[in-house]
Amino acid sequence: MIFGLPFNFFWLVLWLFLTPVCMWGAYHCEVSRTKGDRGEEGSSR
Amino acid sequence: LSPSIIALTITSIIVLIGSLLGFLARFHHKMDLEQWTVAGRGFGLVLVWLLMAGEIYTTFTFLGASGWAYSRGGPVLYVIGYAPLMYVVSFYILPPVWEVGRKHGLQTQADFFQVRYGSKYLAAFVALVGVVFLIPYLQIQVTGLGLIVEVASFGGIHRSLAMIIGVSLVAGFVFVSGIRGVAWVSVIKDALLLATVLFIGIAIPRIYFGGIGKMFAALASAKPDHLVMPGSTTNLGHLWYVSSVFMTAVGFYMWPQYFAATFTAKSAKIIQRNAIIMPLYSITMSLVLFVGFCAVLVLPNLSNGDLALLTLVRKTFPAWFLGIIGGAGALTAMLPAAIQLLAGATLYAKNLFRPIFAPRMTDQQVAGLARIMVFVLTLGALFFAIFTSVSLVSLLMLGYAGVAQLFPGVILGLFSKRVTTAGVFAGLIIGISIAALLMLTGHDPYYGLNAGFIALGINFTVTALVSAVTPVRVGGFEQPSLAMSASTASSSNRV
Repeated sequence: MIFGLPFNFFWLVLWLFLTPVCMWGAYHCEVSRTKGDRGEEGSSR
Repeated sequence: LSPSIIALTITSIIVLIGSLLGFLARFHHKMDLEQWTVAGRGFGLVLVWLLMAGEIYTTFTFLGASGWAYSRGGPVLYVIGYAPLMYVVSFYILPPVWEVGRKHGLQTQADFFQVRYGSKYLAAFVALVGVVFLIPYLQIQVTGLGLIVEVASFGGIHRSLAMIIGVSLVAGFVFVSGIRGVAWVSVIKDALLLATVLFIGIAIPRIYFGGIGKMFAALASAKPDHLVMPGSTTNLGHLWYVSSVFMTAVGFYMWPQYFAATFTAKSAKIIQRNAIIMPLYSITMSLVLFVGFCAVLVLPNLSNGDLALLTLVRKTFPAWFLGIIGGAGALTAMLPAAIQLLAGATLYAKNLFRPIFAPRMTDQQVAGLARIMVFVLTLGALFFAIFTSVSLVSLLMLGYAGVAQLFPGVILGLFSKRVTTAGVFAGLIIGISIAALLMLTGHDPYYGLNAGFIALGINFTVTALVSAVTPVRVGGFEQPSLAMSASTASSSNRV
């Protein structure tokens, strides 16, 4: 038992918290990359 | 006042306030087809979140999941397993779907297939699949609505009457306000659902066992096999778990109503931000499971597992609180039913009836037919809900297995240039046939695997093989913008 939950239950609930963190990271990487691409396009002109 | 009248009055007030909000949502908006189906593509993060959360947390959240926790045990954890994965899938798939939706004026899932694959027959088949599998999903909502009101009124209102009143209100506000009505009803529904589920998920284990940890310890001691696979079942083992999580995660956003909800967003970024926050809302699902597990020990002899949550709430709390739970539960059933009706009716009128039977129909006539279909589908779902008896999760599994077969057509349509119309058509027909055959003949799971997962694997293989030997269509989403209908271009035909 972890935090009062059976391990399998705890593991699944833990990923409900970790998934938004991972996607938030992916979202910001994508936003930065998009900005970078736009910057490169701008400088090549 | 008797407890029955107190509970019933509060439930009715909540349902009426919710429905009123649905009817009022049309004010200040000219309800043309574009507004009715996708709200003019103008929703921001909050409304998209409310709409998506409103659709995702259905009566299944309230009754089916706690029912499975009660009657089957360990296998119910698949509902927590697929939740984060499906949002990851949506994070990557829905933004490009939204992009092509905006570019080509798409309003339905079948529009997506029509533009990408250029076949009105494939689009009509996709629409048919959507409508056919939406009916069991609708039936779940209607059945759940009846159960909730019957229990919340202490049996004072028969479930059939509750179903008729509830779905009539739903059909009414969908008819009048379209998807805008659905979004506004979500405001009250989501607030109530969150508050009540948070409260009962923590309070019930505390009242009966002194806390969540003590409840699990008592359950593990009394029924050591209930919390592990296959729980209280004989055939839902680890293979079933993994294949069900995979099939549901990829198939979830293939429900036609989620395409409609996606098209309402103002930008693709809103869809991504929504995907980021949605897993946190899934925590409510765990709380519902706590109540189901509690009921195993507190109410050991229930004949219908789907009633575990409501019966335990009725046993534990005063009538006024049961009324609030009843109201929240009823809206949780009515809201998904609303957008399912809207999606099914639009699919039938726009992508099935017009292209196949009446190509000369105007958009205004299509919109009129869609509104009539709202009532036809309502009657169909009511008929099945009143005259058939199947557990809520079984119905849901059948629907998921069916719509998941659209996944290859969507994912390959977005990211592969080599997939062909014939390939997608062949894969879809084979996939749906296998899923239906296995599930309707009682072969789910098959060799331990979820039947929908097996069908999806074969579907992908057939799609790839047939695509390899048939010519690729030039055009698809790369061609210049195609307005899917005159209404999309002019946005002036009143519904």
